[in-house]
Amino acid sequence: MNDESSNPNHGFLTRRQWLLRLGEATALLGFSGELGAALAQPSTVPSAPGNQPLPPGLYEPSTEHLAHAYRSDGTYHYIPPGAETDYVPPPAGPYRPRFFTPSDFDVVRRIAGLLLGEGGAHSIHASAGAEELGQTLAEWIDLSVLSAAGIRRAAQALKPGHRALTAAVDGEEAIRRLEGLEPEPVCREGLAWLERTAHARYQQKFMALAAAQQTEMLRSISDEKRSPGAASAGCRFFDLVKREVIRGYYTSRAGLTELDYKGNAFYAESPGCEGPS
Amino acid sequence: MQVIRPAKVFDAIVVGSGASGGWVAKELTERGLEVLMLEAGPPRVPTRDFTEHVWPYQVKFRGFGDREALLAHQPVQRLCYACDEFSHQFFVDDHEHPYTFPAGKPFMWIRGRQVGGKTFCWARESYRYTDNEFKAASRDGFGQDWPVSYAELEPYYDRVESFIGVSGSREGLETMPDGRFLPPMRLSCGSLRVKEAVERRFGWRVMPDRVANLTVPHNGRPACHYCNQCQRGCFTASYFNSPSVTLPAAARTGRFTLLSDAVVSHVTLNSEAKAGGVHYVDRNTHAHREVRARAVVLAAGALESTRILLNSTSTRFPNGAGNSQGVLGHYLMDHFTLEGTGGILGSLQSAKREPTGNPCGFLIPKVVNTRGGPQNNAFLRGYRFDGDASQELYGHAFSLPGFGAEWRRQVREEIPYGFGMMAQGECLPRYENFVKLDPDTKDAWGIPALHISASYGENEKAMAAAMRAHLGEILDAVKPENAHLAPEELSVFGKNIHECGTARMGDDPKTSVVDRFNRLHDVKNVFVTDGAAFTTQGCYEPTLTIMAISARAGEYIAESFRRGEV
Repeated sequence: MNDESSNPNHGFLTRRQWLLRLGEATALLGFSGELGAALAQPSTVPSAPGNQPLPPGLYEPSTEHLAHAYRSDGTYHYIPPGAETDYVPPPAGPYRPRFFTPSDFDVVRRIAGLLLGEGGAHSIHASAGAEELGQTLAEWIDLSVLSAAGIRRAAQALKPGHRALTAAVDGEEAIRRLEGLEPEPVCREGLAWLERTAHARYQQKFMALAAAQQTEMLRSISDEKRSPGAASAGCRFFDLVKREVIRGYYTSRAGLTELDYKGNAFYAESPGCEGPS
Repeated sequence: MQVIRPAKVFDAIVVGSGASGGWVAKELTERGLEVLMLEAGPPRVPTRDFTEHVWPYQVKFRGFGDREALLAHQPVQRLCYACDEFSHQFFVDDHEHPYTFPAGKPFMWIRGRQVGGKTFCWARESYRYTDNEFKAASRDGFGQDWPVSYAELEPYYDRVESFIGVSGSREGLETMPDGRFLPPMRLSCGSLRVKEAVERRFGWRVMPDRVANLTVPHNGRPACHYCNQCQRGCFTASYFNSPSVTLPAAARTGRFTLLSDAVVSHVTLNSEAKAGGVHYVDRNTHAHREVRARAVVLAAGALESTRILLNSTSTRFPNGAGNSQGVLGHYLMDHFTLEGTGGILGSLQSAKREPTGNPCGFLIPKVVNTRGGPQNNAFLRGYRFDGDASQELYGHAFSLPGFGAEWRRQVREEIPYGFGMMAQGECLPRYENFVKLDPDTKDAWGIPALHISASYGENEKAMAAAMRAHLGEILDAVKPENAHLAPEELSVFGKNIHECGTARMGDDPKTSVVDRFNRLHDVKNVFVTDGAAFTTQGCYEPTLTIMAISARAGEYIAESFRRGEV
């Protein structure tokens, strides 16, 4: 995205170009000192030299945070003390699933990898990378399903006026969906279906099957061509996991890189249409 | 109840630190007045509160939001498109800030309470009003005119645009005058397709939105770098918000005192129908205090300023300061919109990602019921359109059947190009749309909450039908795949966050609350400078006009001091 090899066309700036521009902007603002020193400073908002500091809540243009954002090439963001934003902290230890049992978590991890094409002929990731991806997605799905109970409770506890307003703005169906959000039985019944079916077809547990067999089971409940006899518990579980894999993958660093996402970037000029319309 | 009353008397108190308050404070302090600004909310700290350039994978819910917390604490604010996992900190806790509305008349009241008000999260669209708005009543017979004209406001539009920086294209339109613009932003490929189709079919002008984002460095602020995350805060101050633009200008005069966390409950009135200052509650300690000034300017946001006035009672003004004629609180307006028109531009499907990040889309200015434009006698006044067009990021994956490497390849390489449009229409000012104090509901500081009663009428419904017909014709011109037309329902009142009126301007004290310089007819040293003072609303965003009026009022107040009239 912002590395030295990024294509600098369309006004999209490479890291080096942007740092030079930050230097220009810094000079325009009247800051003294080298840009390198400014970038190394802790997160404070400088005021122009010679002026009284501004009262709390007011601020001068600053480049420091941009440099911080530009430097950030990792998964984790610096967590400012007192921030209301829920940043993801680096993990303190191995992940412990909170909704799924450890063995069910393993199944979800495997399914997430298969949905993305792990181990297939056209898989674009090395197996080690795919494992990590599956882990991240399973953690996301664990959080997503765990959160449902709290969402349901909060939606059901809405004051009548707030509920009426939500229904007026988003539609009655939208608020009912929140009030009835229940992915938990979909997961439990879906996982049970998987085990029953693996035993019935192959006389083995799902996790003991080869990837090709697991993939075949997923095909039978996939949204591609649903056969009339396809079990609805399996299909509902497939739909849930696929939806969460999409949400979890395409908001991940790997997914955004794969999409070649050109947003959340730094442009020197308004990114408009370049070619013939 | 103990009330602390410091001895100092300021020249002016300004209540509210947003678009209006910032301009008033700047004008007053630059002209030599000592100003105390009171802001109900806390200061925001950029390094703590801004989230620009944070990636979705760096926040707990990947940008989809902590829905339990939003439902529990911000059940109203979460309905706003701009209140999300990255920006919810700029919006109020709905339980601390309650309000009520009658059954069957839902009102969506979106508020930001902090130093800067809603200027962190506004959409930055900045269009001038003309005498089509200021003198609409003279032209079509409904309601009353503003007591000011475009000619009187033009120099203040110039002043505001020149200082804050507004990017836009020069179009030479009578209905929406060109301003003091920085270079316009560019349109996306899809937007150019729509523009071509609309211009060919209708001959209508399609242009980039005029937005208060900098396309070149301006007054010491760097140009925008097009991350399109303005509502998360902006370290480089490349769009207008008051904490980085107008408030620092006031602060640099050395005559500006800012008191945050000060929830103003009412203006203090003496027996001679003059204000002595304001009464406020400390947001954190709940201590009651009063501060004194020779003039009071209410710039707390349309409905909040009116709420303060309604709560400012005395023997002389039992129904609130400025309410001797029963007009205060009435003639509430908000634009209504038809949303959800659009489709897929099939010929722009691509395997290659386009650059993206413009914090603006395209605008089609009002044509219906304008001089020289098509006339529709089914309704008074008119509407405009805006929209945008861009590649889908991954939304198409949800409806793509299958899974695995080939499915992923399709998501990656068969990128649909979508476009969407909405239409925004003018709401007529009606007495029956009003706010009043709710005697049974108080906020977290014991201050009576508002009861808001508003609904759209026959004019809006007739206009909506025409808007929808036009949206359908635009779809027919553009011919997208998967075309969908906006449903018939008008948006919920308040949803467009352009609430105006309730303390309207006018020359006649019997039918208005403030005069041509925003001074209360009833109390000569109290002013209301925000959207509450609007007499009509047009179909364009109000904030630029709020700022122009505030700059003018600030200048007038300072001149009044100089002439010894205050």
